[in-house]
Amino acid sequence: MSCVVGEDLTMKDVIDVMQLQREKSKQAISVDYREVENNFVAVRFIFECGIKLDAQPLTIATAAILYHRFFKEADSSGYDSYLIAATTLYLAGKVKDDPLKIRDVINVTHNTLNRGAAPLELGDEYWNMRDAIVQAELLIMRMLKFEVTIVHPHKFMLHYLKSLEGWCEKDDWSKMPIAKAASAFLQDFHYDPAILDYTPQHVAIACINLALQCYGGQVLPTDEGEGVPWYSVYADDLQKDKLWEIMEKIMEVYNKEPK
Amino acid sequence: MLPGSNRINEVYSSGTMNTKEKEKYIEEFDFPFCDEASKYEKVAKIGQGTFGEVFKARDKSSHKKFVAMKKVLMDNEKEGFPITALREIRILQLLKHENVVNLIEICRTKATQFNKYRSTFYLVFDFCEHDLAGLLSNVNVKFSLGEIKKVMQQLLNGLYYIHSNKILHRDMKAANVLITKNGILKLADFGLARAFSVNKNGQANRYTNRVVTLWYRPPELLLGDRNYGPPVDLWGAGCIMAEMWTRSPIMQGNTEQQQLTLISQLCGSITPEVWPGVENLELYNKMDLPKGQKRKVKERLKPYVKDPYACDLLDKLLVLNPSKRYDSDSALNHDFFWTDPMPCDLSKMLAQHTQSMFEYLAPPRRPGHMRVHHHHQGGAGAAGPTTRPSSSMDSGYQDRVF
Repeated sequence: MSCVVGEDLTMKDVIDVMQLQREKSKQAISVDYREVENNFVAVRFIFECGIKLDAQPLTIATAAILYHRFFKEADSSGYDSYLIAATTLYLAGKVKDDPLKIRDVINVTHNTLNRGAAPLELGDEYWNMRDAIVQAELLIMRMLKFEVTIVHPHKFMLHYLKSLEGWCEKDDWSKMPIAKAASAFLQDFHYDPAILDYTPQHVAIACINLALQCYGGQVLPTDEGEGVPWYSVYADDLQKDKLWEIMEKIMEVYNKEPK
Repeated sequence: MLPGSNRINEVYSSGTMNTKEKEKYIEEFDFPFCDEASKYEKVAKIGQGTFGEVFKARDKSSHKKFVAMKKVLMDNEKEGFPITALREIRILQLLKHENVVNLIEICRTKATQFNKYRSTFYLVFDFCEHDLAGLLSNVNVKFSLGEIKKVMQQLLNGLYYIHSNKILHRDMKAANVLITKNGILKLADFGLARAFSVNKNGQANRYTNRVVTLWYRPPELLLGDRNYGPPVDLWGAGCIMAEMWTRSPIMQGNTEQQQLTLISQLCGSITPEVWPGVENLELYNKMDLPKGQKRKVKERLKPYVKDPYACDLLDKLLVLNPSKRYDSDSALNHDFFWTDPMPCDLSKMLAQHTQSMFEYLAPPRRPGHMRVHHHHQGGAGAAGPTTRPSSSMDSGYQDRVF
């Protein structure tokens, strides 16, 4: 099989999400988290704090998934979403053996919520927050039946991309930043609780397929494999409808971004 | 609202409940996915260690069903749920195998004013009637050769399974090998277990070497290796296998130095000739390693272990060089398991014993560990009862995390 850049595709077939993203990123968005409180913004908070804490990407992804899983079980009006977000980060550090110091988590989350504020003194406010995180951690684990191990799409995506790379002409592959775009889609899909609705394998395939669509890349089947899509070797249980449904969900994320 | 959230909300906004209301709210909070520990009724304490307490308990909803409850030690509550306990839970949730202890659920106690609104957590396991240390310390329990084979086969099967799931047990010892009254063996206590990875990009792992109870600790750990793997568990398997005949741990050192001396006296001197690369281990030059010792594994075990295949397998497990030590797969393919008498069921033998046997409940085992010039089994033990070193003598024993 070979992979060709789709010169025969017209631009209207190309969903240029990357272009959209590029335009948006020109203006650096600094969210005032105290102004808005919803799940999207809370996950943004997780990513912002996670990066500041120098947490591993999979630790941050774990925190986002734990956050969504918690609010799948609990009523969001009853809980402070930033407390839950801070706690999922702290817990994710333990789960991924990438421990984050609780004091760092408190300082970073506090400063991200109150931009420009001085570091917290070791006083009542600090100890209350620390206690809050410790208690919220126990709450989250009880709500999740202590099942906090997460199977990430990342490892599947890496494996799929690796074998696709070998499958394609070297020149064609290097022309398109498929791996980069797919990774970006995967990370961004973590903003949406819909990520819980699909298997990690399917999510990985959807991210790659969306990247291929964006750049007009196509994995052509061989003569023997006429009509068989590229991803069927990785997941024979993924129908086209389902795949497009996931891709649409991924694209929807970009409409939810605060303006 | 949860207890903590309430407080943090006070920071950001203002709380809505007064203290009394909050306490009541906390006491009555229902966790649909985490049952209360009171669904079980404690019957007896069956274990105690630095890891915490273990109880036998009865399931109140079905009177015949028993479980083992292991209390989660919340020693450092300021850091929240201990990362070591979380690791143990995640490992137990991953491992589902006939020869690995089965985690049923995690329970909690109600938070009340009596525990300062802090719940206690318990890991709840299927109950196993005996542990191997308890059985071996009872002179009335006699294992036939076929039965010993069955024990070892199940033990190695369990190790094969956990290692293929990329988990190291790191605390192999007779007391952590449970046996049900039906003769099914279960590896237990994953409190020191961790996931391992094969070295990538030539980058060595840096695991703590402060693991495994001293008497079962392999030479590479005693020499400060931090890039170890499954062979650490196979050394323990060898020690346990020998113990099936000697009835007490074969090398009972009091210090790491003494343990290395005992190992050298049994397995021969630790040198780069028998173990290339050993000279690079951190403590190789810091420890006093006896020179000129001949390997005497078969010779010294023969008085206890009459079966030549058993002696040969022991000789393949108690190998100094971890890369030459048998793995569980090779051990399972050894003739020991495939010659008469074949491994045979333990349930008949165990049916003669109606009392549970746990090391914790048993009187101290005879100290008669194998001495160099010690010819008959159970001979006059000179020293008083030895205290068994626990697997975690201090907090530094486990992976330091914070």
